[in-house]
Amino acid sequence: MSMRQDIKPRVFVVDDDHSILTAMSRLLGLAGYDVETYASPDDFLARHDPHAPGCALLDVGLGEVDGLTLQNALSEREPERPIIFLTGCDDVRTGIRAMKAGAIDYLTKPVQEAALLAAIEKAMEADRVSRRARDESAQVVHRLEQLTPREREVMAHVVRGRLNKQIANDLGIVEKTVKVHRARVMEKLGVRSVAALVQSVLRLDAASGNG
Amino acid sequence: MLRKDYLSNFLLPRDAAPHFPAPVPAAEEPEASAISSAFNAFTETLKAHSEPRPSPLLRRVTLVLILLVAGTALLSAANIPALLGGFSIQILKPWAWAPFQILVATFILFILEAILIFAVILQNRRDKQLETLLRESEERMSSAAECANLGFWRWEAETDRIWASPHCLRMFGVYSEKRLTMKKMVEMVHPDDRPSVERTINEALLNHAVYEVEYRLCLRDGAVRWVRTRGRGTLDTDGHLVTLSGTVIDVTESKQMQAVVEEQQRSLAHLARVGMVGELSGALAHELNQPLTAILSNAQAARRMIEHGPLDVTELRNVISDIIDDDARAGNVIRHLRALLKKDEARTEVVDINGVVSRTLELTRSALTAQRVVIVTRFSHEPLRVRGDSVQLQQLLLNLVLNAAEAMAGVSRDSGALIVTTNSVNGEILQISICDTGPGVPEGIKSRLFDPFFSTKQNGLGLGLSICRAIAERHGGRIQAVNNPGHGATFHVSLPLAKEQVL
Repeated sequence: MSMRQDIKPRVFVVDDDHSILTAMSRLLGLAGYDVETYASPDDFLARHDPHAPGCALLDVGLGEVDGLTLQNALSEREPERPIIFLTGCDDVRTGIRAMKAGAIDYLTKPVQEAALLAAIEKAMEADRVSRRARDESAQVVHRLEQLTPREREVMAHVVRGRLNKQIANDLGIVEKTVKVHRARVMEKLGVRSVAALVQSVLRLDAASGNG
Repeated sequence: MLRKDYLSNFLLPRDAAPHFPAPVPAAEEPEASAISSAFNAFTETLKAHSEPRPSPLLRRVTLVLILLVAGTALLSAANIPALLGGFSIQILKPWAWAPFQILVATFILFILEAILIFAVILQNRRDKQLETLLRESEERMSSAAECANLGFWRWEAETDRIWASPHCLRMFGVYSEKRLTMKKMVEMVHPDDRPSVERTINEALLNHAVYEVEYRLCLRDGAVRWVRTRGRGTLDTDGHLVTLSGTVIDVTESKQMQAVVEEQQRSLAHLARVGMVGELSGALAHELNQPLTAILSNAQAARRMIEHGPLDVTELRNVISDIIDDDARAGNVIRHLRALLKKDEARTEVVDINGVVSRTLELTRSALTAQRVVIVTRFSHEPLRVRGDSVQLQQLLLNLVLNAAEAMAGVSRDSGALIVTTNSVNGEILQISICDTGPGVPEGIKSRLFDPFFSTKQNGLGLGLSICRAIAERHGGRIQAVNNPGHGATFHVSLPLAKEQVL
């Protein structure tokens, strides 16, 4: 949550125009961001650190090729990077495609400072949210890995809402043992109630796409 | 010596040798001699005719008068004895015819005189007929010359007299050839054209050749006419100029027509340029937006620097100089655009071709990179300059580059390449080659490629390449398309290099 407050969020600027890269890194640096510049999409894909928090500011290029291709390449990667497009040509079709593919915003050059910074802040917030969600599910996964096979079985039954007695019957063990397993599951996963347990397992489900 | 001075005053540059080598008859051009002999015959006829000579009528009237006087004297002689009292008649002629003597003599005399008068009248009429025929022939000749808009003139060095046909006089705006001198004729040539006229005539005289030169004639009423004159000089054995003669033709109208055609071509080329700029609008907007974006972001950064925190003056200076550079960049794009959109008179200047190629590629860079076309330039190291109009030459190149880009867009290859080469051939011809990796030109249409209104594009007007050819030809060059051994086509533009390589 606030563990990375000391690290400045980073903006990855991709544009083939040297003077735009210079100007952008000046402006965004003064606005309190860490800025990394790349002269081409290929350069960006090759060099940038996908785990560093932040967002990408991409030049769509003229033929709607470069920026959108890069967007596709980025969306296939883990973790996903929020993207703001900055374009020289105000082309509605390209804009719609970019937004549908999940872009945070689609801005036209020359861009006003306020609009740019607002879009970047929005992208940073999206990055923070997705990063936090990813962190939490990673934690849950990590904790689940610490459960014994028997504890996992018990947990699966608990989440489905079955009573201790039914679980003991299903697994062929005594109810007291079920209670012990259950307590250790709650302890290892760091939850205090059955409701919290269900919630974190569901969130994990949602994050990984299936059970 | 006088003749030579005269010539060098009006025709020869001061440092040129006033003494011409003696004529070499064998070197005479057949066409030239035909012209000059025809011309000489014509002038001789006219001259002979206009010279004063004793009239035959006068001669004959004198004869008749003499006869009359003689007849009257005879008659009087016959009458004298009668007047004296008729003695002698009685002595001489005693018969009865004596009373009719005077009557008979008068009658004979009358008949003789009548015959004589009749003969004189007849001769006179024949002369008149001949004269009419001659005049008619002359009129036909001069009206033919007039219809052909052709005037004749001849100058004799010794007398400084100019004979000129009436139409020629009219062309020069004078009414009498008596007033015409070589000095006046030279003075009527437009000052801007005088050096070239003098140079051409002197060169022709030195080579004993026919000269032909076009120049503007400034008439006394202020009108300016374009004339083309063709002529030659004759030299004596010492190489002194004896006569200078030739034809002069008024070409003002054809010059005006030519100007109209040129104006139309210019309008067409201008329209094509406007169309091309339209095609390029996306790319041009991008070219403008890039520096504008950099300027805005730099300015906003500078504002932040001033508003917050300690001011780093060095960094602020960098920001401002970047703003200035980007402004110049945007200004350049606009200047190039305006040059293309402006409808200007064709200018003739010395143009650096490598510069024109660079500017063209600057304008098309975004359009080409959007197509993933790699641009390769191979410029000649020596400066390549041609005489011409830089805007038209840029239009020519822009058209070829856009054509190449379009050709490559239709090919489903991953990426194309545009190779632009400039080099000089033998130091006289400049060659620009634009090589693409498109599908090439189908053999069947190669001959019609540069024809107006021939297009393979669905919405093409078919003017682009025909305008390219017109521009190349206007600059004394040519354009051709060849298919590459592998794939794609190369367009070669050859232009004559400007002689004055050092500016």
